[in-house]
Amino acid sequence: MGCARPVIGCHFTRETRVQIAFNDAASAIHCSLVDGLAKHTRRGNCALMWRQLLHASSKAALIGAESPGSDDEDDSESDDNGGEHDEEAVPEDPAYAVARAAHAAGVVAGAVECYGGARVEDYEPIFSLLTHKLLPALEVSRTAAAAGELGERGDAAAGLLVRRCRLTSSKPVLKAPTVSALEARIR
Amino acid sequence: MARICKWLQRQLASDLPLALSMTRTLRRHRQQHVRLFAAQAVAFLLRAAPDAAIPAGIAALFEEATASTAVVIVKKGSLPSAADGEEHREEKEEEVDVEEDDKEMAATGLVIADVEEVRDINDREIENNVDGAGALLSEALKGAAHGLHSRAPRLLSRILRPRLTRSEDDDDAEAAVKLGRAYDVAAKAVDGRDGWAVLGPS
Repeated sequence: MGCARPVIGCHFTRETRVQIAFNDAASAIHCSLVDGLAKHTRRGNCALMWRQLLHASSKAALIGAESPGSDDEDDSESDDNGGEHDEEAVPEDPAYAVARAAHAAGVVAGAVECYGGARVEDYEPIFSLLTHKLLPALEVSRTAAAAGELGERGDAAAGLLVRRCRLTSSKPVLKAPTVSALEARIR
Repeated sequence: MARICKWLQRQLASDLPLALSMTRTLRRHRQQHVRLFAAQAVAFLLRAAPDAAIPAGIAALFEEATASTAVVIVKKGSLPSAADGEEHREEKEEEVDVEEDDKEMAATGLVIADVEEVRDINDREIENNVDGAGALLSEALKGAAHGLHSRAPRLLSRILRPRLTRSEDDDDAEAAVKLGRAYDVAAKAVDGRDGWAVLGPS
C-alpha cells in the first residue's frame, strides 16, 4: 500500500507548495500507520481507528465555503476522545485543499484495501464520506480547474482525487448506485 | 533500549522531541527488523507521555521523518585521550561547519576519531524514515487482543492532523532551500512506494 506521487507545481504560492509537500510526506506516514494498524487489529476492534480516520478525512475533504470547524457532532466526539480543539484554519488556496482531499481519500482507500476489505467495520460511513464530502470536493475541484484557478498541476491534483475516489469506492464491495453515480460525476 | 525507556520513562516522556532525537539512529536504521524493534521500544514512551507532551512529540516525529538531511559518522583516524575526546565531542555538537572544525583540528595537531557530517539523504533512507515513523506510530496505537490501546484516541486525533511548523523569520533564500527540501522529501517519500505509483498522475 502506498500513495501516488505528489502534485506540486509552479502555479502555487510558496506557502501552499510547502504545505502540499509536507502533506504528501505526512500522507505517506499515514498510509504506513493505517496499514500497520489494520494488519494488527481485527474487525470489531478497530472501530475507533475508522471513526477517527473518516472524521479526519471528512474534514480534509472540505473545500470551499464550508469550514472544518462547522462539523459540530464530529468535533465534540473528537474533543471527548482526544481532549483537543481543532484549531486548523481553512486554507485559502483551492489547490492545497484539492491535494489535501486527494491524500485523505488515499489514506481511506489504503485502509479499505488492507486484506481485501477485511478490516472495514461498516461500509456505510465510507460511502457517506464519498457521496457527501469527496464528490462535492470533486465538483469544486472540477469547477476550479475549468475556471483555471488550479493551473496545470492543480488539474493533476483533481485527477488524483478522482482516481482515489474511484479506488475507495471500488473495493471490495461494489455498491452499484454509488459507484455509477461516482463514475458519472467524474467522467 | 526497552529497559532504558522503561526505567527512564518519566524523564524521557516529559521531553519527547529529545527522546526521539536520541533514538533516531535505530528508528531510521536500514534494516527493517531493527526499525521495528526500535519502534516497539519507543512506542512505550509515546503511550506513557503526558497529554501536554504529545503534540510536541508528534510534531517532532513528522519533522524528523520529512527531513532531507542526515547526520552520518565518518571515521577519520585514531581516538585521542578520553578528556580530549569529551572536549571535542562538545565542540562538534556546537560546530555547524564540519570542514572548518577539521581544519582547526589539523592546525592544532589533534586527530579525532569520528566526525559528524550532514548530507542529503537518498531515496532509500527517505523510505526508511517514513516507514520508521509509521511503524512507531502504529506500535504506539496497538493494544492487546488485536485491539487498540486505551491511549489511541488522543494520539490518533493528533497524528491524523499534523501541523507544519513554520518560521516567519525565514528569509527568501532560506525559504527557497526549505521549499526545495520539502519537495524532495515529499517526492521521494511517496513516489517509490508500490501499489499506487501506477495510479498517480502521468
